[in-house]
Amino acid sequence: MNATFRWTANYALGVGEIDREHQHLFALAEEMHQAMMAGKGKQIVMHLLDEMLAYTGQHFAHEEELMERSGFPDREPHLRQHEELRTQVRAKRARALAGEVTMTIEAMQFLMSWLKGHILASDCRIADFLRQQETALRRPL
Amino acid sequence: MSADLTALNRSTERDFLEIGGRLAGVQQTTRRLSADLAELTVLFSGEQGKEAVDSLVRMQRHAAVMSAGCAERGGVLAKIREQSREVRAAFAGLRGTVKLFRGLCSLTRIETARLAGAGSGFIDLADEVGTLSARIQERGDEIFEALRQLDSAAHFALRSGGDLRERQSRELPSLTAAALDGLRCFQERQQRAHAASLVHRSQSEEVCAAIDQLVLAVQAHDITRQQIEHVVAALEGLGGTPATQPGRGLPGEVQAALALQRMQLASAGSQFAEAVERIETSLAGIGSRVRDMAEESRALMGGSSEEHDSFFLRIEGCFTAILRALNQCDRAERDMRLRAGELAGGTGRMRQAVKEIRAIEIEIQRIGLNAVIQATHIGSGGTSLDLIAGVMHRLAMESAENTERAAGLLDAIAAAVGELQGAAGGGTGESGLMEELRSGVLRVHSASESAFSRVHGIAALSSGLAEDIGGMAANFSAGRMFAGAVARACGQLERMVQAAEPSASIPAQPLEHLERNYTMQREREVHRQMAESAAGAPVSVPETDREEESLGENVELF
Repeated sequence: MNATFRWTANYALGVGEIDREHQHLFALAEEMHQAMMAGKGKQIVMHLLDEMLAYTGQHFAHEEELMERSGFPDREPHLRQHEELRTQVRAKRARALAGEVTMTIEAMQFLMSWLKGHILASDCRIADFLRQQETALRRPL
Repeated sequence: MSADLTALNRSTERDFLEIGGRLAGVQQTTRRLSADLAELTVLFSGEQGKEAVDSLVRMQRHAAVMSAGCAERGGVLAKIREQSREVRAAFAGLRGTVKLFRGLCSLTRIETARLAGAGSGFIDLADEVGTLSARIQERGDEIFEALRQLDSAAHFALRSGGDLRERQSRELPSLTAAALDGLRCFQERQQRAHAASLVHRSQSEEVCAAIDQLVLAVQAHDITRQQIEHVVAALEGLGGTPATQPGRGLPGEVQAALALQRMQLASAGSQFAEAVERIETSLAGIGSRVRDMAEESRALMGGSSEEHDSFFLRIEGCFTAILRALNQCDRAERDMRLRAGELAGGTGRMRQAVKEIRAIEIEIQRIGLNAVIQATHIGSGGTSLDLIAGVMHRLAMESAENTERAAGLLDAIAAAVGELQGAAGGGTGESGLMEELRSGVLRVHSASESAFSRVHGIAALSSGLAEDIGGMAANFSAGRMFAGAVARACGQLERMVQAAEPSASIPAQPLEHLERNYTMQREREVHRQMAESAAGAPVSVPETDREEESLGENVELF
């Protein structure tokens, strides 16, 4: 069966750990999408937000370390984006924890814009930068 | 050359197999898309749609009933507060009365001391009345405290009842109306989606039919491939014959065979070019249809995908607000029941205190009456005591009247509180209904999240399909490769034939006849007719020389 949210090699940053984490986020989106198609999104929305919160902790730390190590020039705006995403995930999780279960469409839209805006745009800029750096290192002096 | 041609056959075979596999995938996706569209139209239509609308309409009706009940309870609470004020008024003079009793007790003691032995019995009387007055004071204080609590409970109950009523009469109906509007709007969109899905389905069917045609065109290539195989076999056969005769070039039969194979290759090349053109045209046609479908999917219900998202988000916001309002109503109902319980407890304590005050007042009346009798026995010396006892008796009578009035008011308050408890305590049925309404909203939300995901899934599927077809058409290089390899081989054969001296032993006419009848055109016609017969057209055998009809032993019909 064709997945709606499917990580492809086009999204690869070329950093194994980070690519695996991105794949996990795509898998999470697909899991939520399938549950919502069956009208059962409310049953897993808390799990989704828990996973997203854990993701913002672990994955963002990896990305931030990579940006620092590689000297990525647009690090500051990217860090701000991370912080904003963390805040939003925490706020949504707090609402779900308080019993607001009818937020599946909102959570899914948030995740979709995250995939589109962060992974397919911002993170790709890091990937491009890393590739350029690698090419520069390989170039003979 | 033969190795080049064999490699060509293999590579086009691989290319075509891959195309065939991907086309099968595209066809499968197209069918899934069609099924998804059909399922989308079921959402919010028929039973599910009716159930959703019924739930919300029931909620609107119930909100009106709840609001009326709430207004009634507000009236009862206001009455209770009014009656509690009257009770306070009835007992307003209680402290003064107690002070008077104490004053009368002091006067009794003074007068008894003045009378010395004659009034000795009155000392006990004064002490007794003093003690009773203190008890009246205590009970009175209890009543005032209970009245303060009752007033406060009634005040809070009225306030939360007001909030509840506001939610029941205004907020909940307005939220429900918004959700109903959303549902109606969704139903309109669903109708648009239904119309779009019919167009989509017919487009999907066209795409599937075009893919079938394409598969046939790909299959027809097998005949061309066999033709090339024959050329390769013939060339390899020629490889065993002496290449040249000294001073005379290629033998005549070899020249003829080479010329024939060149013609064969040229024929295969033109057949293949036609087939490739057909395949490319079909791919372009399918690609264009699928791109249209993808475009339409993005605006499946009218409007852009962003507009869809904000619509779904708005409708989800309505459901969330309704659930929040229902929870608040539920909490307010529970609070009302709690307050009614507090009111009942306070009223019970006051009635008990009033009962005690009544008993004390009767006791004081009895003491006062006894004192009057004793004072009469003392004679003229006891006139003052008689007067004091009389005042005491009258005061107790007056106080009792107030207490009676307060007791009556408290009975009325107790009845009102009972009424309030009855209304608020229909609790189990009420909470059952609340739960039913909550489940109704959750069910409608589930249907809307399902529709949201399905719309996104359909759009993603259509876009993926368009990309697949686009990629397939862009990577379809078999035509160019084939034409190049055949042109190279034909050129080489042509050069070989031209390099040889013309041989008188090659008659031109039989060669042309052979060429005309050895192009595997017959096999192609049979293949086309078989394909047409699969589509329902009658099979007709081509009217050619019967003796030429044999297809050869190594020709495969598939």
